[in-house]
Amino acid sequence: MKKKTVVKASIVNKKCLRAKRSKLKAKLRNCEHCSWEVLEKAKQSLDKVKFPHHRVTRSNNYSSNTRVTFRVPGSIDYYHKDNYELTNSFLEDVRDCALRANRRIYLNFSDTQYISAAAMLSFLAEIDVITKKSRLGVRAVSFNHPKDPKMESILKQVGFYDLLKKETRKTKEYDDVTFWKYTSGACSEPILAKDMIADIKNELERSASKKLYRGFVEAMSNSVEHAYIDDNIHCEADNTAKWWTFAGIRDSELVVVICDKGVGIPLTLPKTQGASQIEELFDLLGFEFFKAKDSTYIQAASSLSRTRTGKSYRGKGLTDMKQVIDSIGTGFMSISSNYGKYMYKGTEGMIKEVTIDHKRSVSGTIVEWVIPLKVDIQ
Amino acid sequence: MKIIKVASRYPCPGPRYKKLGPSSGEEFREWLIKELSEECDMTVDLDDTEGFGSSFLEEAFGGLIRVGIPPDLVKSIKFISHEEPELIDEIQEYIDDEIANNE
Repeated sequence: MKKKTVVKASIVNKKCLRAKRSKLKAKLRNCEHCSWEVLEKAKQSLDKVKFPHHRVTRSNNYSSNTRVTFRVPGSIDYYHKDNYELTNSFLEDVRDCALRANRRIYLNFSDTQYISAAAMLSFLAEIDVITKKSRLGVRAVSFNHPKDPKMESILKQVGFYDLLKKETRKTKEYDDVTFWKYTSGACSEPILAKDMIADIKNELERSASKKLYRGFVEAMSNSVEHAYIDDNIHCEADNTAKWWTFAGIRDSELVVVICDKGVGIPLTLPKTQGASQIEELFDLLGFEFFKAKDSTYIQAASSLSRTRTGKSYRGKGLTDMKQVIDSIGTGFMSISSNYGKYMYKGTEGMIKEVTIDHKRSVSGTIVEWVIPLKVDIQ
Repeated sequence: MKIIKVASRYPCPGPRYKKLGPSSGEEFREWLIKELSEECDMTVDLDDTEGFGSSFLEEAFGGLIRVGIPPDLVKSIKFISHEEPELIDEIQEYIDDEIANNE
């Protein structure tokens, strides 16, 4: 007769518990790229199994004071498509966690190896808005010193440490980092960016810097005048309806970026120009009105001129921004607004314009000029 | 003849309207109107600023026509621009367009 194996109940329980814990750990590992809420839920489920007797009853509107950790992507970048989506998804998540869920966040910069200008400015603007909107102020966001010394130097230079009132420590100085300048403001006040303009003047020929100034001041005015029309989130009262600007040098190129966190060109264009004007403009450009994507709206806005709109003496701002590249004769300009991106490479090359639509929104508008250094205009 | 040097008051010319920020085209236009009321023979020196946004120039000079300054008087304004000579044609275009719109 076969001998029956008697397994103790406590061993069964232990095995079940171990299996459950292992399953939850795997689940936690698998949702590494999910939103912060999914991740938090998975962590809580695991904690319930790990510490079954630790039960606390909370009220419904309870908001935890524990920080939610976010791993900052390896590349905060808008130049490559994958990085673009990843950076925007990360920023969306951070915003949602800090502003909707009212949670404190901790940014872990350990993996960060690369930061590009436009993405950095968008990131900085997002953090600035969070610190102003959150009831916790600057305590809403904390971060660690990046492992990469160059990243730490960049964050210091662009004012990330100052924004979050974190003490800086001595780091190695990099020639291509010390030039990086950051400014923000609520009015169209180019004088605020005086230091930045002075540095740009040293890098570019006088006539080229004047052309750039023209595009820059128009971009700033557009942000102040149009970007925050009907914006329910950002307002002047809490100083979140503003622009952020940044200039830096990357691989012998001058990069100038100006950004706002408003409703975006695809939403403001029909309001500033009127629906019938837009339809007319789309017809002229050969776009189908009902199939228009965000990039189409940006392209249409940058093609506005008085001759095309027929009457108005207004609405040439984006055309001026584009003309910076025509006047200087080299470099490129890009405008990202919500889901769309429009790139203008001047009239010289084979490809003059490129439009792209992304899955994730930049939540605002970012205008960027990239100009090779020490160029004289044609 | 009166010479108005833009850079003396507006080294960093700003946006179109006063409500958008300081050093605006609207503010500059008011200065121009005040000076025009004292002296009709006027020259505007555009050099030595950081640059001009088109909306600043349009509001300042096209705006002169819109607020009712006689076109002949506006057309009689002379310009100096050694750094960006093309600005003079641009301003003339703004003035001509606004005169055409008013007709």
